Amino acid sequence: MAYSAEISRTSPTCFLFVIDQSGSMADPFGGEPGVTKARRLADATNRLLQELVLRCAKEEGVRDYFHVGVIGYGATVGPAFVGPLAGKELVPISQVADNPVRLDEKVKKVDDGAGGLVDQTIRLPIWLDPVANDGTPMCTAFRMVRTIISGWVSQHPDGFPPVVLHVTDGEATDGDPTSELRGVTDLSSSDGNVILFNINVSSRAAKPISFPSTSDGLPDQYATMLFDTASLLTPAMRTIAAKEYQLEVGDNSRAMVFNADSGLVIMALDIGTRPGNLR
Amino acid sequence: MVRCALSRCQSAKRGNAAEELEDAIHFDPKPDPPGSPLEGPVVLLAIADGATESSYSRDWATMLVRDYCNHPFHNAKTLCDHVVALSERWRAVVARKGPLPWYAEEKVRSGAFATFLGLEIRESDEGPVVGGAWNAVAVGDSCLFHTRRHRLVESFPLVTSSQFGNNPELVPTDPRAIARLAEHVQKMKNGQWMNGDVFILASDALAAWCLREHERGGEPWRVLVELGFSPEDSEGSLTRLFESLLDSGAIKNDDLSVVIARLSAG
Repeated sequence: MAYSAEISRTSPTCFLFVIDQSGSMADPFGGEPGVTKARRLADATNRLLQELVLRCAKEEGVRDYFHVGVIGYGATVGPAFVGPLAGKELVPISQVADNPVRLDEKVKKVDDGAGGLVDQTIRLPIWLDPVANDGTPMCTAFRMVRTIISGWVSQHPDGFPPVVLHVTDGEATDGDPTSELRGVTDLSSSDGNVILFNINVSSRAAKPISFPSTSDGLPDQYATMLFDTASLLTPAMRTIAAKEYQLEVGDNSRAMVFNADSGLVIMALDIGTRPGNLR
Repeated sequence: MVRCALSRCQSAKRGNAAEELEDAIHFDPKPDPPGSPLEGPVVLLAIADGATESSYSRDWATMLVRDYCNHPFHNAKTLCDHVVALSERWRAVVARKGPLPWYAEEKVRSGAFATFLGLEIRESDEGPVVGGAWNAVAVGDSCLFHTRRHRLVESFPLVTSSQFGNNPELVPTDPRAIARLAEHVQKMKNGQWMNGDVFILASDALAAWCLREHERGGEPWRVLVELGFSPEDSEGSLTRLFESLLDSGAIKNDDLSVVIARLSAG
């Protein structure tokens, strides 16, 4: 059965975030004036990376259940980590844990257990900053993604297949990316094909579409392309979508959201990074 | 007097080092000399399964079983009182580890979690002594099986294999969550035991296998007792059983722990 490989230190899996850093990401999300999409996306990715580290952290350190990378595309195409990990494509999660560019601090109100609230200072690790410049070279980016994932799969031929989490706000400016996107999901380990999430974020306050089972009703060819190239949700992801987010998903639900607000982006990234089977 | 021959075996999840085992077992009184049966008016056995998702959960599981065997509790109120005091000790132990990296600090803030099962076995207060009473308290999916001549008398707190899932109830270290613990500790049980009865305490993966085997007409209790009290290398025999169950996929890859107690009175 596909997508049943155990994820462990000897058989890790891989999460690759692919982030649109084109100029239009400097616009705000629809319905969320004041904060740019690039800022929200950087925040969401930093928190997801933090969550992935915490899932692997034990008293003796961080167990390398995952290899993780972030590829950005806009004025340039390449690794988007800043700080000590700059230029790295995929790194074990323990290296992510030990190498944030900085730790921001935030004061949070927490329950004191006696009916009151107390201030608590928490440290927020940062690995990438918001970037928004130039065009949308999606085809170039996915040729790079294919090379990276192909190399990883050849080193982990029986591992749980990599999950590629692609967040974009617009159409490619370097051609039709269909074949490049398919070139990634054509790759596989013995446990199944690479899983691609297509997450479209919107500047308009339009009705979001979550994990559709059919392309009927999608607004345009671009949305249909994102639907056609997205993977099916795995059974474990469907369970999380249904049980934790009360979403109506079925066997044919695609790993695709359209017109997402920042909350839906965070939800989709969370579902995409919980394949199950973690030892 | 309760006399209790004891066999036990623990095995870390495959792929993990032995010291990464997060289950804990404990008993009282101590056998004297080591390896001999436990003897006393009261015998206490406890098992706890530290949650994989939390840090320092092995320390927490160990504290829970040791505390129970020092001061057994019999209701939700006393359990919560114990846990509040213990959680302070857990935080003190963790604080002594020194400055922690950001992720370890965050995990400590979230606290540790463990399932827990405690069993108290008492001699009879009445007449000719042929057995006595027992009571148990449980939070989560570590299980107790009371068996007589290899037949199941009681399964506690879970009674069918379908009840095992991925989100068992847990004993937390977080004081804010402890207040809610009492609501989950409706799991108290008591009963009577007789000479020759066997109590088996098992962490979730092995407990689930026992109930699956039982449901399909097998005799898991006989298998465990015969291996656990085999004349030669009982621990090795149980370890080999665990290995074969893992090889065949009959059991989930998890920390595996079992305590087998065969009783006699007088």
